[in-house]
Amino acid sequence: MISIENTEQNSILTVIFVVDDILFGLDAGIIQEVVQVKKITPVRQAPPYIAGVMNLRGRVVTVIDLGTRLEMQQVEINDQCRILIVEWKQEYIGVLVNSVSEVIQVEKSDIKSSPGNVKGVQQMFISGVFKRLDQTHACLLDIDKLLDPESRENEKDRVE
Amino acid sequence: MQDSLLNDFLVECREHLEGIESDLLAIEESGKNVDSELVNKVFRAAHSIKGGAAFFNLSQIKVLAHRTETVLDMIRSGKLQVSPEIINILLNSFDTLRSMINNPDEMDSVDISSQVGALQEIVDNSVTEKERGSFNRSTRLADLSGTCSVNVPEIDVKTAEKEFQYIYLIEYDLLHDIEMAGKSSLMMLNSLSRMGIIVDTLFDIEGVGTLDDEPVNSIVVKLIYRTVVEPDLIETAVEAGHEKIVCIYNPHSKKEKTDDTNADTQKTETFNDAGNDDKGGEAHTANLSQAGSSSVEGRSKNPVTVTETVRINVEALDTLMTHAGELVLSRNQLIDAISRNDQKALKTSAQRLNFVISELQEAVMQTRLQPIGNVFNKFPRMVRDLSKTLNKELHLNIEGKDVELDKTIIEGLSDPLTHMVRNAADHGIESQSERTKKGKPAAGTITLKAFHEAGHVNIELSDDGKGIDSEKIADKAFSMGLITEEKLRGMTDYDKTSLIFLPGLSTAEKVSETSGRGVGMDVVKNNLDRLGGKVSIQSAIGKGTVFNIKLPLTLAIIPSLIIHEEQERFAIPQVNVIELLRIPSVQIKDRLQIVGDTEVVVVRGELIPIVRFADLLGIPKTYIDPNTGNVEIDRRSRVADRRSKRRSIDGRMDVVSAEIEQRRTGKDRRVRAASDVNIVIVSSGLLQYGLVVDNMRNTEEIVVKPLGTHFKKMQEYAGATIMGDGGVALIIDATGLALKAGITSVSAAKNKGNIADLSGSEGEHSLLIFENTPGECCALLLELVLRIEQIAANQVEYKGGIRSMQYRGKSLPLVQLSDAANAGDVPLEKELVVIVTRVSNREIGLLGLMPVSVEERNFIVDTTIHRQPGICGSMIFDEKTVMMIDVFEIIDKVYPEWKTEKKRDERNVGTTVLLAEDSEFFREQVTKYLNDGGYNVIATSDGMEAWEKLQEHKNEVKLVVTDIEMPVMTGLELCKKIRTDKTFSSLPVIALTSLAGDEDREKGLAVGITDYQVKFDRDRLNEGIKRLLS
Repeated sequence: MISIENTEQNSILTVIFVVDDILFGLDAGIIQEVVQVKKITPVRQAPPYIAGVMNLRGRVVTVIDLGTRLEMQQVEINDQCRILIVEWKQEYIGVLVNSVSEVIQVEKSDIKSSPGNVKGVQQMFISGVFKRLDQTHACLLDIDKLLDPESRENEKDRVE
Repeated sequence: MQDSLLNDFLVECREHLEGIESDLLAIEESGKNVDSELVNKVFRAAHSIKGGAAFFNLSQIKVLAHRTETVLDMIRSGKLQVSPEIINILLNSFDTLRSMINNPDEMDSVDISSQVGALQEIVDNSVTEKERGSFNRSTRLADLSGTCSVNVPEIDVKTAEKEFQYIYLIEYDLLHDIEMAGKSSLMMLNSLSRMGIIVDTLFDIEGVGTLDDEPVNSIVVKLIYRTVVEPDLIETAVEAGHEKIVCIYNPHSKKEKTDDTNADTQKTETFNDAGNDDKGGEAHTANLSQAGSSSVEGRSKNPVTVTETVRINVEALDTLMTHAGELVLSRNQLIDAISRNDQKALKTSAQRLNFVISELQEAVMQTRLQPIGNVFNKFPRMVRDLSKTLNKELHLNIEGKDVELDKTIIEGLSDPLTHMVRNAADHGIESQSERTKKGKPAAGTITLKAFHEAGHVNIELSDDGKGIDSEKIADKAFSMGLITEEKLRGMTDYDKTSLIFLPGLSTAEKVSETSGRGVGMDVVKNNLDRLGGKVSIQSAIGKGTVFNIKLPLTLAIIPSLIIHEEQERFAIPQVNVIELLRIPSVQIKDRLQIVGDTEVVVVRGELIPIVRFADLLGIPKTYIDPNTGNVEIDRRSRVADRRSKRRSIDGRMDVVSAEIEQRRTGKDRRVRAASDVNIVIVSSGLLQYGLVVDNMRNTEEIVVKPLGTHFKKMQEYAGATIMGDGGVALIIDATGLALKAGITSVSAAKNKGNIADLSGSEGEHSLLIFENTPGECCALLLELVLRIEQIAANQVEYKGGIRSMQYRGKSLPLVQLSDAANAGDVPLEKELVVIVTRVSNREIGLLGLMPVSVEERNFIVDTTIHRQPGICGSMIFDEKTVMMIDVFEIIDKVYPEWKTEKKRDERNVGTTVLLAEDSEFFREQVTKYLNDGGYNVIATSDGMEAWEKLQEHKNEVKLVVTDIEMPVMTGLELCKKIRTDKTFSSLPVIALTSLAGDEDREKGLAVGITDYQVKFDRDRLNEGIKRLLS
């Protein structure tokens, strides 16, 4: 197991997960825990990217469907699905993904800015791209933009 | 000095200050007859603050509190006459004290000179020459041995003399006597204050030494203490340890002295002269500021953050402890039961746990409860000040100060209530001259009332001012683009008044002048919403305004009704639930109706709009296909359609629905086609509406959890909760849902409570209200209405002098009020409604304007003022004149041939009909209709009169037409009487009804009613009679 202490500042411990067959990564430091999907209560009339709310040990936690949020395929609930619990602005928020694959150290120098042909929301939410050992690419996500309820609306305004 | 001690002191000061305003005002009110107990109370508060401040070296507070105390002492002793000016200065001083206490870090920068000066002036002006100065001068007193002597303010010596009190010099060692003995300085001060008065506190600064010296092992504080406790008891009284107590003044010994010396010589004995005194004073303050600055330094290093505290009485804590103990016992029981796998024991311990936890919950809640007086108490002062600045005479009545609420709610209430009271005084109450002109008492009254009602607390703020002009508010809201004209039209006065809560409307500066009320009312509402409160307004122009705020006792745990919709669970707070209805499938067609485009449910004769909960939230309805067993999406849109045959307004089966029904019989795909309908009637403010839900479960106490940031903008939910099985259920926000559903209060009018004198009224009827031209309100009895269609102006065709429109493939003739009456033409550029009715077996449309509403109410028709062809009378609804339309007269005028056509085959001319009807208006109408049909009419006003007339005209009367509800003898009783009499046993009796239920019909048939007819439908009534007579 890699402990955070013995790594220098020049690498980031990253959780790698899959949404709609694409690999994404989030800084492990902000993820409190990864839980299996139990019951998600839908919240009607809420924005479409919200999967619902769940009970996390007595706390009501908002669950975001990352697939819908990234304007990709909605995450279909199955045994592989996981919810990443993120603490964001003093609030716990669950990020629903298709599956979690691994936790790795990513050298900061390996992170490249996202290619220019990534457009729209994805470009907005992706802060960088890096290459994994098996030469596949994964996109690092910007959690602040991802979770900010206003961000997509702003983006749309800008585009229009 | 320790911060925690200082903190305790500050908290205590705040408590002292809390009640002071109202006390001072009461003192002002009482004028000459000063309530000495009250003055004493305020005096003691000032005194305690002074004492503590001196102890903690808070020189500014001490000085100000001391001056205040002096003035109060003079009031107490009757030397000073209370006047509003003095009270003003005192209030002001206490304000400054409060602000210093609230910001202890900045207290030294507060300028108190003006208050001190003002207080000094009071003293100077009222004290006689001889006494003047005794407040500032001090007397040097020494103990008998003369080893220690101190300066004591002369006034205290005099008081001591007068009241036979002793003055002691008590020396405490802070380190040994207090800290080490486990006492706190504050406790010590308090216990002393109970028995006497601490005149002054002196620190022995030199005694402490400097940092270079040996570590000190004592900090000496000297207290000058005035009390009645005698020297031999004083040691026990102050719980003496190692304190040194020296008696420096003994009233008895003095008295003995004064026995042989006169007052003047006594004065010479005392150690003072003006020059000395000044210096002494300076030296004293210098001392203080020195000590003060050192303590200030200490503080600024660790700034005093005043932590919030709650005072709990020990009893409550004990209760908590007992419950905690019981909880432990229950846990042990539970563990035991689980290990033994004993079902019965498990059940018992679950019960016990349930009991203990609810007790515990209650006890914890108790500790958080505070009397609402804490908030209310600041208003007398505010209203008094407002009364001065606004130059209006204002009275404030406060009721229900003792009502208790959760601490957080109490705190949150302060701002909105302040705002509302200020608004009431500023905008609500008229100027004095205006009031006298209107014949109102010159003094405006504002009443603030708190009371319990059904598990929540109500706060009512009422004034007798000019009220709120709902129309002006509505105009303003419209002109500012905050509301659409369309919405506005469907609104009642109540809805319109409530518009002042719209954000944007009330914050606009101008509105306060035109509307008369409501700067920042949106902020008020938001604040109250956050507390779970609901605010509603009722206002009568010229009479006043009443704001009602409903608040929960606590925000943390609320009883809620759990409902199920498909697989999802929701909680509706019990405070919003009025009643639960389960409408059996057989009654659906009678009780669920469609008015305009809204579905309504009839509850005890009242129409309540209903909303399908699942549709509103977009929960897909599913059903299990009986053929495939798959879950399918249900596409039925209306409850009435969905469930069973739909009855349209006139009571006949809607053709289309009936066809659908036919198609479906035999092979009905709908599994729940004939199932019952569950409706939860909820309220938010005065608004009531029904939520149609799948399933109602039990009521549970739920713990409210906030929803995340992503849901902040959603108005549907008030929060979430975690259910017993660990799942999450959302809590419904009744007000938000109503807004979302666009429900305006159809039935709000009846809540107005102004059902004044109903004697002589026409009974309760459903009326369709619409407009002929904007503002020209018309009413038509709902029984006459087949359908209402909303059409565009261009659908109206005008050909060959006949107005008509295309309707269901046919041409529908259209008439309007101006065709018969002297009224304006319906403007064709607006949105139109066509009220479809049936006359002489023909459908015909009456043109009108939106908004259309249905009101079920009692009314009195005036048949004189507005009577003209097409209008049979007028009534006053909510201070508006509404004209009652006689649609038959209009049609007779436009299509006279229809009437003659009918007349021709009239073979019953001359037949006599007996009519019993208590309402004069209806009696005249029905008589006219019967006359139109060619009958002679004997009209009577109740069953008894009808019976008598029937005896008289035995042979002529061929038929009886009777109303059901009548005084003296009802229609049913009359019918019974007729049936039991042999002479009349076969006489046909027609009962007149409004929308009668099946139940009523059955009752009628049981006593022998031959037929039922709708009161106001001329043609059908005449046809019915003809059928019975032939």
